[in-house]
Amino acid sequence: MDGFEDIIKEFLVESYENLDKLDDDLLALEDTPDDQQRLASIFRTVHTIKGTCGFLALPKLERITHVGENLLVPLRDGELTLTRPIADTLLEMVDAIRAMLRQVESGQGEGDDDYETLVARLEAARTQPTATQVDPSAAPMVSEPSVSIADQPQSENTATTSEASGQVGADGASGMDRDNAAESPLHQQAAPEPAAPEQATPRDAASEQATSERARCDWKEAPGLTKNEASLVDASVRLDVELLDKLVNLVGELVLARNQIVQFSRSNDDAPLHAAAQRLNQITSELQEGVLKTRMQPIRNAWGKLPRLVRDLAASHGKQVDIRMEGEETEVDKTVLEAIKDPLTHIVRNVVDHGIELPERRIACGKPPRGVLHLNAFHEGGQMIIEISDDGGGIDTNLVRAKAIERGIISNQRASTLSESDITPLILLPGFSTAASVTNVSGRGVGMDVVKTNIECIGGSLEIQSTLGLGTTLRIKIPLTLAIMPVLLVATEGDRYAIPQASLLELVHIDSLRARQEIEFIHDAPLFRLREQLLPLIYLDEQLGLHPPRRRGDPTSDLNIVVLDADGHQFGLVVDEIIDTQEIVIKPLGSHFREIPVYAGATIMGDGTICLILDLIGLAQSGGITGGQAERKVPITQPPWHSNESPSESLLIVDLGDESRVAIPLSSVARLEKFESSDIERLGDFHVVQYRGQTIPLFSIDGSLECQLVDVSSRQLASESPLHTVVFHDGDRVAGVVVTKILDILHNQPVHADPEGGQAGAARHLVIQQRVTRIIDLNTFLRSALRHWADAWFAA
Amino acid sequence: MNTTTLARPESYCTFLVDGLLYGIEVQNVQEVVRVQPTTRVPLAPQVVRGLMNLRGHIVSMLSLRNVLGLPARASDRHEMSVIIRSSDGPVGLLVDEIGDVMRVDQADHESVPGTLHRRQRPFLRCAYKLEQRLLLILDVDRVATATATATAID
Repeated sequence: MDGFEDIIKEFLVESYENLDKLDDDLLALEDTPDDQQRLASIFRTVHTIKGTCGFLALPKLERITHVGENLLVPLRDGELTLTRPIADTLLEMVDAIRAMLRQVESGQGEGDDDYETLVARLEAARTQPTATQVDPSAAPMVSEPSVSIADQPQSENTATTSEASGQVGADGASGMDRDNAAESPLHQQAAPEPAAPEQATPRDAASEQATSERARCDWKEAPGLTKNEASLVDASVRLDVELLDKLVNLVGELVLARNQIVQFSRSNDDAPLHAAAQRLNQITSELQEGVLKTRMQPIRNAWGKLPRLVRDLAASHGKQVDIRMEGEETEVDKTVLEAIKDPLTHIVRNVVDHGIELPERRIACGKPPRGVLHLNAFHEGGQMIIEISDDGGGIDTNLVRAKAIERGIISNQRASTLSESDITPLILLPGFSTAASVTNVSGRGVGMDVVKTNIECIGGSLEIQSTLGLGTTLRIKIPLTLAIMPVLLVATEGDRYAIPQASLLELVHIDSLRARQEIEFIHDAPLFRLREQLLPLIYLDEQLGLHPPRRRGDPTSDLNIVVLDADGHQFGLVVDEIIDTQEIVIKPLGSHFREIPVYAGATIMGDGTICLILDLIGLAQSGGITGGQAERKVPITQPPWHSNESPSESLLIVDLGDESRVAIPLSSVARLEKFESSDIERLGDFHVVQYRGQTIPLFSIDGSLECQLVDVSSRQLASESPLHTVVFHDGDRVAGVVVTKILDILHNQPVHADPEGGQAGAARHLVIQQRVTRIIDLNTFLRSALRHWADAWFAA
Repeated sequence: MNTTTLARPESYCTFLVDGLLYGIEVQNVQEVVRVQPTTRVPLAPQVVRGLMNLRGHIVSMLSLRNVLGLPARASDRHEMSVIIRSSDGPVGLLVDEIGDVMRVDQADHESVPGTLHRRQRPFLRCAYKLEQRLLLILDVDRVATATATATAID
């Protein structure tokens, strides 16, 4: 019954609006009687109401609108000119419809008022327009009712298709009453009879007028009666979304102003000011809550079209899919709703496309032929969760694994360390899903990375779980509103910055002593071991260009580390000070800052100063945590470096001189040589040595893992000791890499890919002999340097 | 925006930058305010002096000297700022000194002198010969979107 009531409600709201428009249109039409557009619009409105009335079983209403429509047809077609009496009659009809709608609204059905006289007059106006015009002074609304009623049946029968029309005529009123009594026993049938006889003998103009007057009085009274019950029109107002957005923004401003006042009052000992500030605080909070509510819409609006989509898609694929929805009433901010619409459609399309199997296959698997797509929405922890689950084929992790390796998304070694539940999310990574073949075999994935990105754009997240043969569940987490964002305020170099709390994992404070011990460096890239996980550190002041890059060995101070998760990459952001959490309103930055990736916007703080909001994904990118490398971190339950089942390699461990260690896969090393300083000659920009009849260039690796030409002034060359050189072959090119010390060769070392991205050729690191050691791939490493060398060589 | 005919005199809000008189059509000027503390934006283009809270609106403040490639100011006297209406919202321009609103005669209209410094030319629309000096008219949108790092003339 709920659904039906909703329909009625919608119908009422819509009709009231239409009627208001009808009033205006009719009035305007009196001045310009031949305005075809307006006439057409009036016709449409009446027609719409009529249609809905028939559908909702409101025969009286239907009849009046029907007759009104009949009158409007010749008007619209230009066969009749709108005269004042006709306009009056039409307006009266509008009033009558309105009165009946109010009755419907109050739950009394169409009410008991009788409108036969009106019907008669509407008919009369159509058939005898001149009669009303002849004598406008004498009761203009009463135009020979009896005649018109007598005339009616013929014209009515020809002009209408409604089954009710046959009854119209002298017995029309009683017929109507019978109808009423028959179809709506709910309605109190309170003596409508007097009207009928009166009408049956309507020669008496005075009584006729009295009747119509009475009827009109009733209609006028109706609003009075319903006023107390807050008429639907008053209860709901259609508003421009722009106006709402403006209000939300204004309330945001008010919140900021409130914050300022409250802060000001705190620094003041004025009791009345305190009280006023408190009151303002309270009212603002309530107002903010209320205004934000105005933009809340049920999630139903986002997935209302899905059943149809599923039905059509399933049909075209020869599949049978039932869609079940739960929590359709769950409310979420309109902007979030808009943002989630496309991703949702995309996911559902994918489920039907690839998730749910063909009926035959389902039967073969022992499942019912009809697949089920389940949508579930609910609130959890201040967020909205949408679960999309199906009972389809699930995702074959073996295929995903194979494809991921083939596409170069993860390395072979890495793939073997990932558990089943870690493999599935790989389909959400970019590069995976673009290939059609992958979609076909894996069952999911056209543009899933786009879906993920879109959801992350509004501060949401997407998780995927799948069991082969049993189905897949996608879980979308989105914030309820985008207007207000909880942030953590931090300070660095004297300025405050806001970090969205959605990405915040934890806060770690370590004192300078611990920092010295526990911050490890891979060259100059600091890492912190947080519960045995290596956490790359980014210094905020360095990223903002406010502090020169720190190097290993720099004096350490106490560190405040904000552990963050940006797009699946965890890293620690080192800040000077952690201040507080706060709710802020995001404001966009101007065009000058669009190129800067590290800001998401700005906000005005309680004291009126402006605070920049950090974009963590941008920060992670500029800090070298993400980007560059195809490999991205997948949330992993067990750190891969704790795993034992991985391929092994022999590694050459060398010291680069600045106390940092590097491991070079032995497979890429040709020989280890020692050259005396005196052996070194200069050739152009290069330092070279004679080696087995060849002239080979020497390179060195600096702390930032940049390949460089050996520096004459560098330690290695200045010292008298022989130069330890790793000789390396790449095809017919040979080169030497000068290192400070050869430390060790380790066999059967487990080698894992590590999430840390960064410079090409230096993608991985691991803990060897209790030291963080970076594995470098000389091949990639020296490629550009060798090209340089070759160019110079051949040029010379 | 500028729909005035040639015959009608145009009003310009004028200000001094490095001794020269510049002007912007009054309808493109939102207001003139004393410079308030700004929030610096690390990594921002050099022309950007910071962000200012203008009654709840965040306004980017640009150093007009920097935009026009003029040397930085020697004195630390309080600068004034002209808040202009650009197609990208309000933008603040830091200037040395505020002048009068001037009505100029279109007859005095001149194209921008070709000898003007290269760096400045894109930002200037035209010039007017006043009795004693030249009034250089700025192109609001170009100034507001100037991001190039200025190299100050020594």
